Amino acid sequence: MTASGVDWFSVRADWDAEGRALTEDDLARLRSSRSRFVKLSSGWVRRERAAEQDAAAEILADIGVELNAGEQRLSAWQLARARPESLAALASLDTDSDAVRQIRELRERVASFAGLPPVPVPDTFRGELRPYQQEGLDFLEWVTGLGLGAILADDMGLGKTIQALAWIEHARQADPAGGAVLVVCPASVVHNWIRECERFLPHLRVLALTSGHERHALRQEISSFDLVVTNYALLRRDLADWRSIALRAVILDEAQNIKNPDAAVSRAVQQLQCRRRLALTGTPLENRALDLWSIMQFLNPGYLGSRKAFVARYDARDTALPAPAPGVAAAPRAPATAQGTSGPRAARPDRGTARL
Amino acid sequence: MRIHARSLETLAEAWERRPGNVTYIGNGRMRELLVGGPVHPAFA
Repeated sequence: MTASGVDWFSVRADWDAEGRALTEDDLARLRSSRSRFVKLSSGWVRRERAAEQDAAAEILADIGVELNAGEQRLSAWQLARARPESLAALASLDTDSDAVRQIRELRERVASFAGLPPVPVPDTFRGELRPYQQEGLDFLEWVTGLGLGAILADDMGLGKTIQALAWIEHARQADPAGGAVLVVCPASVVHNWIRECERFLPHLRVLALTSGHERHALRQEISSFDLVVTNYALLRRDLADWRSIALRAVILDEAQNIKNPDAAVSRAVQQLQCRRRLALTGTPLENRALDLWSIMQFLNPGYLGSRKAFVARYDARDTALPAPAPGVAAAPRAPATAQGTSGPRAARPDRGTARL
Repeated sequence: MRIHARSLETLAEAWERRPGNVTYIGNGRMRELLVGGPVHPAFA
């Protein structure tokens, strides 16, 4: 396992015994054998190897690694939510010590959570955040700092854009060379984003990529901008180019646009290369529970489980939604454990404000 | 020595009954086979 330096780890797991790979057939032979030693095509092996490997397989399954499946990518939060004993066992294996250190630090941050640390509003931000907006900024910074994607689900008119802008500026000041932030929104609100930027962050270098061939040339100059705004339809059309651009963050405004996981636009946003992901929407769950799954799949792939399992549990037709399950809905506070890290959280339901 | 299931069993039993000062038997491959040791998924 090696740390990517971003928010995911590259993992590869293959069985071997005495330096030789064991196939599934080999393992089956070992398990069924009554002799202490078993002769495989590759040589003699102790029967206990099968039991030892089964135990290791348990650990790997807990952290979501598939055996003999080549190189796999695991997000930091996926590893951080594994059982402590699995992580300890992982550390004892042939694992990059830096990767284990990073995971431990993440776990400790989550375990020591005692409330959202207040984030100072950047001095370059020309505006004042209302208390719940300040809390929104704190929330966004905390969650994204853990390597998670976040949904800001305040009701329309409560100022999701201003909170996102404050978060963008905070991130930009922390890492000025971190690349551009891409905002994807409906075509009708592209210029609203530009106006809000001019108002609150007039020093930002902002680019609106709207229809017209000139956008292809402009896209080549993205590295000289802090914020780029485009719309969902154009993103889908220009995806081949976007795929190769490393972004600081992607923000989906009116994120219900990707509520259908089968839609081309939903698949397109998954392919963007970015370190941070935000979704802004007043209706994260517009028609059915699967809407939320689709958005979360962009933010934190795999966090809500497989689509099939999620639908079976929460989205069965003609069935009312069950009570919130642990770690999935209405966690009482922000993450106190790794398992609760990004469970949907109704921060101020009475005010139409939710952060997930 | 020719290795087969029975001779390996004999060797394993001899290893288990070894005097306290015996710390070595056979080559590295044989030790690994008799003593076991961690078999682990190889992470890259």
